[in-house]
Amino acid sequence: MTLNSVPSIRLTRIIKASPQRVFDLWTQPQLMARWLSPYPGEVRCVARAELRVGGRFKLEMRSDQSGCEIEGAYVAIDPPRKLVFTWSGPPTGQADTLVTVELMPIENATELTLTHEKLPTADLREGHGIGWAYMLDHLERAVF
Amino acid sequence: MIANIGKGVSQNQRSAHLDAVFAALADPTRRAIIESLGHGEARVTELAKPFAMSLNAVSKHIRVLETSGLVRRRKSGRDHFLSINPRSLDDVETWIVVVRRFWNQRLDAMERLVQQLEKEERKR
Repeated sequence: MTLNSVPSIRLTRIIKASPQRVFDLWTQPQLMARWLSPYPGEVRCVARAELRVGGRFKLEMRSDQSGCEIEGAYVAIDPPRKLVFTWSGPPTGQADTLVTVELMPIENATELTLTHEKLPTADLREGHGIGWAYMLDHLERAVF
Repeated sequence: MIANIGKGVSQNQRSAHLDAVFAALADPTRRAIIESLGHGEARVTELAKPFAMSLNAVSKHIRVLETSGLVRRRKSGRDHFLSINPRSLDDVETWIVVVRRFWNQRLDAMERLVQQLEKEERKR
C-alpha cells in the first residue's frame, strides 16, 4: 500500500462459535451492546438495529465521564455468511466508512474476516473539520 | 518526523515512528500538554503551570513529544515556544493503526463474550 491509496484494513480471526452465533453477535442489538462498546469499565450501551438492506443500526454508549455514538446502515445482508454496513463515529472521524464482515465455517469454529474500507484520508478529515481534540479524545477512549 | 515519512523510508522506520507517536500519547500528562497546545503556541513555563510536578518533569514529557514528532519547538531569544506539528497525525498509516487497534480490541471482546454466552447457556 502506498500512502496515497485509499486506506483500508483487513483482519482475520478464528472465533470458537458457529457462523450463526457470530452473525447474531453482529446483528442482534442486545448482543451488539455487550462487545461493540470501545469503553473500558462501567458503560451503559444501548443498541438498535433494523436488519434489512437500507435499515440502520445505532450504538449509544454513555459512561459517567463521556459518551459516543456509532451508527450506520446495512448495505448487504447474507446470514450467516456476510454482512456489509456503513460505519460512522469513533474511530472514523464521523465520516461514513464501509465495513464488510465475512464468516467462513471451519471445524467447530468460524473464520471471521473484517474489512474496513473508505477510511477518511487527511484531506477528508480536514474537510470535516475534525481536529486534534477529537482525535485525542478517540485515542484516549478507545485505544488506551 | 512523522510528517516527512514517505517514499524511501523503510517499513521498519515507519513503524518505529508510529510506536513513538503511540507511546507519546499513552501518557495522560502528555495528552494534556497536547490539548493545551491545541489552543495555540505556548512557552514551556506556561505549559508546566497546571501540573503538580516540577518544571524538569514536565520538560521530560515535552522532550518525548518532540522526539515523536507531535510537538515542535521554536526559539526566540531566551524563550522557547512549543506548538503542535499539525501534519504529524495526518499520516494515513497512523490512521490505519488506530482503526486496526480498535477492531482488534473489539474482536477480543467478542471472543470473551462468546465464552461468557457458553457459560450462561450451560447454566440454563
